[in-house]
Amino acid sequence: MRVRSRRSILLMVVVMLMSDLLIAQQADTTSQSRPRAEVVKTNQGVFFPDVTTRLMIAAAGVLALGGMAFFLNAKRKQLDREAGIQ
Amino acid sequence: MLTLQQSQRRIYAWLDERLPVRAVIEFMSRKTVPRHKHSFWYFFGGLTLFFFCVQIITGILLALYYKPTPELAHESVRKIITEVPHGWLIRSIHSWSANLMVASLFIHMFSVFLMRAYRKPRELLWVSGVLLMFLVFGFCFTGYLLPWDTTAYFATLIGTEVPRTLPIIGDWGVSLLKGEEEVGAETLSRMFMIHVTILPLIALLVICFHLLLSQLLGSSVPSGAAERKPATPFFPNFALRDSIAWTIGALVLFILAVMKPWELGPVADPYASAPAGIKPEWYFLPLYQSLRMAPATLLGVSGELIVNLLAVVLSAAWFLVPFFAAKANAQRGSRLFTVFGICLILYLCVTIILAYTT
Repeated sequence: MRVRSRRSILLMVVVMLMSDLLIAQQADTTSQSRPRAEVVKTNQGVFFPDVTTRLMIAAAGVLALGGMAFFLNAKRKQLDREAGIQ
Repeated sequence: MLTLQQSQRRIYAWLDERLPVRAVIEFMSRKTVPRHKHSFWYFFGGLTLFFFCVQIITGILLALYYKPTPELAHESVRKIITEVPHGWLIRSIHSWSANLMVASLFIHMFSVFLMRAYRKPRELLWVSGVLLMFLVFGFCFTGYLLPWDTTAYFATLIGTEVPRTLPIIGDWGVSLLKGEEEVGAETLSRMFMIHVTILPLIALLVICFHLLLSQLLGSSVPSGAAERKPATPFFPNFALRDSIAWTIGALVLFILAVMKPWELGPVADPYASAPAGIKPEWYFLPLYQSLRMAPATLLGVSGELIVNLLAVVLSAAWFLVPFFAAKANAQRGSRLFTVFGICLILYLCVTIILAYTT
């Protein structure tokens, strides 16, 4: 059980770091081989990562936080069962 | 080599010798949260606290780069968004969590009102909660000018003039807020100072008081809803439910911040005319729309003055709700209060929609 929870924590940390990797990839100007995400200029002239990059960051967030919610809910069910709460 | 459990036990023992850890855990495990058909609404208080914590963390990160002068403010925010690693995301999370904090605060406050959770002995819990709502409005108002873009500048220019019509304190209040005739360097410096020092200090004190009271008094059961199920122990069962709500809140916040990044308008030009259609943020729209709908004069009195006075009277009455609700304090339902609460919610919704559509 402990090994499984450690693995899930490790997985969550990796997923959470994915957003860092995506941003770092965008800022990296030294490597020519890496694909670089385009930046979007909004009406007011402000730059954000493009929609695809943002979608990937959002997906990483959904995986990390959704996974955490799933894990917490499983723990809640187990504790509720032990306490006799339905 | 120590195992994880042995290390945890040692840390716990070390802390327990120096702090009342055992007493706090015992108190938490004895404390229970009632279960009934309206239990769902209990989560919004904790969710508001969660968004407030996000505000503090992201606010500190933004303050590392922000420069509160008219010459540098806009440029420093632009730099945060474009050059600082993850700056755009942190600013976006800060702005979105402010909005979500106000939304969850409203839901929490109206659910407390409609469930009559303010009744004896929870009067001070209600008063401190209403005080926190006004502090949150203060945070939102003072933080809005900081990017120093066109919308922020002109919205603050209009917003700071609103209290001027109030007798006695109107002019004094405006000059205290602005520090000079026009919105300028003095205003920005004051807004920044209020936003990052005065309000957080007061808010932290009031939050501690509010949380302490809510822990000591426990959750209230609505007068109409009988407890059909056994109560949930606060720790760990309810705390775990709360943490799930926080995680879902974080998920919604993250998706909004990433997919709808908070933008920055062009730098404010005090000599330019105000752009058409400038509106305050949605939580100030009921007051804005009421001022728009008010007649110029009514029985010789300025319509603006009447709306401002009504807002002051309503705010004062809102603080004192538990002291008016004699029936609720006697554990009976009060149809008048329920109708008033529903009418107020409808009025807020209608004015917000009207302000957006007209």
